[in-house]
Amino acid sequence: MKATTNSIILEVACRLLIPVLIVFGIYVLVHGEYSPGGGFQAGVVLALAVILNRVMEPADTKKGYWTFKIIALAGMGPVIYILTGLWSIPFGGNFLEYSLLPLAVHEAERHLYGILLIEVGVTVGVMATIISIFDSLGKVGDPDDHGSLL
Amino acid sequence: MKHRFSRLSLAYGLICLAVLGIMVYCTTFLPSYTQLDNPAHRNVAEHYITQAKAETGSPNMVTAVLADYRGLDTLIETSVIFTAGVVTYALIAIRRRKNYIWGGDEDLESDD
Amino acid sequence: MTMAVFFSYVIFWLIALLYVSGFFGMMEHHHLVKKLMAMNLMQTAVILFFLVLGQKIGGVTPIAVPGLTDPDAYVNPLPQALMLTAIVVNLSTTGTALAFLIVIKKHWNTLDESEIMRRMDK
Repeated sequence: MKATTNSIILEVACRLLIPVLIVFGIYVLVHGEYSPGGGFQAGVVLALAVILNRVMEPADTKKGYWTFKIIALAGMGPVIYILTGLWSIPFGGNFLEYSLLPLAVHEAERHLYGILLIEVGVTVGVMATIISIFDSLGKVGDPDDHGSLL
Repeated sequence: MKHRFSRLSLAYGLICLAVLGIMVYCTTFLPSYTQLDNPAHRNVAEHYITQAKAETGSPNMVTAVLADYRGLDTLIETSVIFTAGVVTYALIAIRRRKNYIWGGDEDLESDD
Repeated sequence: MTMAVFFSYVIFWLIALLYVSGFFGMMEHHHLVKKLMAMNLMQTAVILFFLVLGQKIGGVTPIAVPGLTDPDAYVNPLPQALMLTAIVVNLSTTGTALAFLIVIKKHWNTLDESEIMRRMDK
């Protein structure tokens, strides 16, 4: 009979840990301004939830893994960052000047929204890069391995 | 397999002890450690500590420095991470067409 | 210098010892993965050194508490923000170096540095 898990202890522990990690990662991202945290830390915690899922399953269930589309998601991180920076230019500000963002709040609060948008971009970039490095390093002995560019 | 220390290892050890000695001597030139009149705590850091809540609205000074005062550095940092992911993918997991020779000169011969 | 000032530099000596351990490991080992791990040790030592420079006596975490306005009560936030960048560079370097090691192993079928140099000269 084909094995469905690597080990029963690993599966039980990961089933308890993965939802907690996802919720904690989003908490660390959103509370980056009031407690220790921010973009890089939240990206690593969210990537850890996906990597625990990869570790839990046996090595030959690789059908649904998108190694190339994850890189496209990693590119969205700097794109979100740059769009937030360019958003204040038509309204008379410099690049990445949060005081002149066109939001309907008090001027001192616009910095908080700008920082939150930036951290979302950083989190998406870091999370997708860590997952793609893990998947690429795990793809080495596959039957469809055509080798590298070198 | 046990690691074998040869005579070259002794030379490496002496070089490392010399480097350690130089570093220990140079740390005595550092300004006073954890004292409050350290010049590293004076100029820019004092401005960041006192004005972070008023100018950026976030009480966390590290996030205010990283995302507001030095936001351009964080942008280039994120693109560095993205480049590392792309390079790892391109070295291992990319697919090649069949009969593709990297830098070969078959193309030159068929042009004639 | 007085004895108290002399012994307050002990932490810098310990960090220098960590750095030199990584340096010795990079020179001594033949196996490429062990050299990579020694380089990681050196990077950790540099990051720790920078973080230690920003401490203050009686300082708290740099998050503004509503009652505390004295800038001498908070630890310097600037080294911590700069070292986040250094940690991220550490991650990128280790991931890319591991990918390079996989390509080297596929090409020469060994990861021993003296073997590879010998085969390269042939």
